[in-house]
Amino acid sequence: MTARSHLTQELLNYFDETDTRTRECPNTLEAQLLNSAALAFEESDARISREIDGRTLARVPANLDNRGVWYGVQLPPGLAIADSGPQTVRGSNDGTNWTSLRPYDDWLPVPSGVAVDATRAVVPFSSPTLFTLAGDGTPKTATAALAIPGVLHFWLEGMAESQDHVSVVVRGHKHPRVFWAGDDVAWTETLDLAEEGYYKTATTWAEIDTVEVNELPAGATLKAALFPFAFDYENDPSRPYIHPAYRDARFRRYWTIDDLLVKEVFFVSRYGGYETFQCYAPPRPVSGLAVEPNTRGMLLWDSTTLYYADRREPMPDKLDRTVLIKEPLYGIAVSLDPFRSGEVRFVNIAPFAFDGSAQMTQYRYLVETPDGDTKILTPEGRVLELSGAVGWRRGAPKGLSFPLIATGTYLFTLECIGAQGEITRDVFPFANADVAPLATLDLTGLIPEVQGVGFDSRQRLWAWTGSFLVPLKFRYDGYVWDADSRTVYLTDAYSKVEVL
Amino acid sequence: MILDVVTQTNSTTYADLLGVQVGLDRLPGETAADFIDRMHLAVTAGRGAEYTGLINELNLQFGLSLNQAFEVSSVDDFELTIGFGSLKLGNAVIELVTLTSDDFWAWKQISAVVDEINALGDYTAVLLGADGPALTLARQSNTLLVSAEPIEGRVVRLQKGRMLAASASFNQAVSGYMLGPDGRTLHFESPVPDGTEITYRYRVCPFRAVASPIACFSLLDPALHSKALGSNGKLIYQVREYLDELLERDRSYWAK
Repeated sequence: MTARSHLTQELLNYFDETDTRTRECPNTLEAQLLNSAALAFEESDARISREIDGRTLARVPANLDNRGVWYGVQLPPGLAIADSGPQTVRGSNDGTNWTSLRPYDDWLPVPSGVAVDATRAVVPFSSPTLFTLAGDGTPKTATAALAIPGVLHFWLEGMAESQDHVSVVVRGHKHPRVFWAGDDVAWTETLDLAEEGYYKTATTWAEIDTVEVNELPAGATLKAALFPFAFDYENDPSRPYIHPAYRDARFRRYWTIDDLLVKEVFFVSRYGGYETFQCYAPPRPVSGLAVEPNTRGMLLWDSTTLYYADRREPMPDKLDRTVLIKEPLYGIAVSLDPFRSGEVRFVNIAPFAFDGSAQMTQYRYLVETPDGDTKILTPEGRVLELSGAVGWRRGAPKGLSFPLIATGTYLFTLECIGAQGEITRDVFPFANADVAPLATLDLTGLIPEVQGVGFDSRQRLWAWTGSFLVPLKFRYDGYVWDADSRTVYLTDAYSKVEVL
Repeated sequence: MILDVVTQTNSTTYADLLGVQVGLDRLPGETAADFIDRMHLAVTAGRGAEYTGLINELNLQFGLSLNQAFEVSSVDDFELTIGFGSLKLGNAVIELVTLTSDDFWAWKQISAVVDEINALGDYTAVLLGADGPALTLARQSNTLLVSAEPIEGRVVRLQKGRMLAASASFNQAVSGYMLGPDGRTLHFESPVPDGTEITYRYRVCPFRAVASPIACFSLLDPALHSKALGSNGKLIYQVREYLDELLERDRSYWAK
């Protein structure tokens, strides 16, 4: 599937709000066209963000470019290689067992393996949550012992009707510490929390003296953690959610595990809470996920397995079926039912009238399942075998809710018969998406059981066993090709390299 | 074609570009994350021309780390000074280095120094970091200086406690004052004039001594005279080696 950029909706929102089909249907021809531009914008946006972050020590990317260390092999002049690079690169440490290497992609660095990072120590760690404060309007003070240096992550909820901003003043010592007596001055960072949700400090702390919280209203709670996996929601800060109804508004995008599904949600408001807008079926039930900083990747885990996946939303397949030759009497919009929970996802199928809707005499719904089987879908939700005369109803089309059993692209069609007996159709492809792991890494032998995975302030990977933090390190078995110097740079060390 | 010349090499990351601004290069094989840690230290640690700045800079450039060697505490405030080859704690002096019969420096282990402090009876010392030769103990004191701290009002709370009352000096005339029992609060007879600054010394108790993997001493250090001479008045072995190396590498010593 092609990825759908989160910026596509931002472009679609420049259509007038009365143009409901374009604004609210994510897979129209306009959306497909603009998605190409949005993907390019997204890449430029990410590049610019990297450049901006790269100008400050607190935010400089550390996990890109194979962390800055490569293993170079310069090719001899006699070896003919195309400018685009070698066809095959393999590495070996004994000359007998060879590993095929693949081009390394900084946007989506898919790991080939994982190991305990020997350069960092395993650290006792009993809980990712540092403290939880319940508000009553009075100032609160907490302190926290950090197992490893890190930023403080906060989760604020229950603000209800409070108009106050919550002020969080963190006092402590920055990492790395200056050990000279007198030079190790205390550092203070103040956060202004205007809305519920996720926050973090810019400072990497070596030690926390106090955390002072002011204006935390009654009913609100503030939770602090060393890793975001302590919270129910994982923030995806580089990809805000854009709602079709709100031009120029960007909502915070979060990931969460709900029952057996992985969900993308956005924070609507204190009253609306978190609304699901995309849902994915993982290969096996997962217990948590972590967004990889500076890339398009994310990690999901169950007790002994780590999955690496692209976290961008997929465009549905079968988009060639959405071409409209004649304006239908009624259009169709299909969206995920945000109020259904459980393993099976439901979609809301909603008809909307076009100019010729007054001529409509009969209608019916069709559904093509991901395996290509087409059925008739009655407004009552029953599924019937396809037949020319079956399923037609008189009157204005009614909406319905429909369960999606299989993963893949469903095609929903609304057929309408006009006053002259002509049939018009509107087709809506809906991707009942799954998490397609690009890598599945077995942690058996490294960690007894994973209860959390997260990146520290230097974007290094840690896994939590429930009682220890274990430093992990990916290997990529990748390479990049520099045509100018005719050098192949490997992500991992090999004593022998075969280049063809 | 099979190639067997594989060379580890650093690429140019965003961290390397920031390194230019803080005057540091990433070391061969050092990851960007480790380099970022080093850069953070470079912007918070003093890197001036004084002794601590020199020690900091050497460690930063070589990618090494200072560490806390041991902690000394006592019921009462105390004065601790670590100089070249000796540690002075109150009235007691603990030698950090001894001479062997063949005029060779034998540096005590830090753990042995900790034991000797505990043996004094009035102090408690705890080893904090890895053990090593006491040569790595940096020159330091628990009596520190605060220079030109702005103050205002009649009752002044200083940035640092345990001020040494006799050490206070002001940039302009102030009224009489008393130092509170906390060693930190000054009670003036009348508010200090606008723009008043105080310079004072204070004690850090308990005190954590710093060790540096790079020892650094000056040939002009007054203490070197007594530590660098052997039994027959000759320079001890290591200093001879240091000087030979200096003379060999820096040809200006031979200039006429």
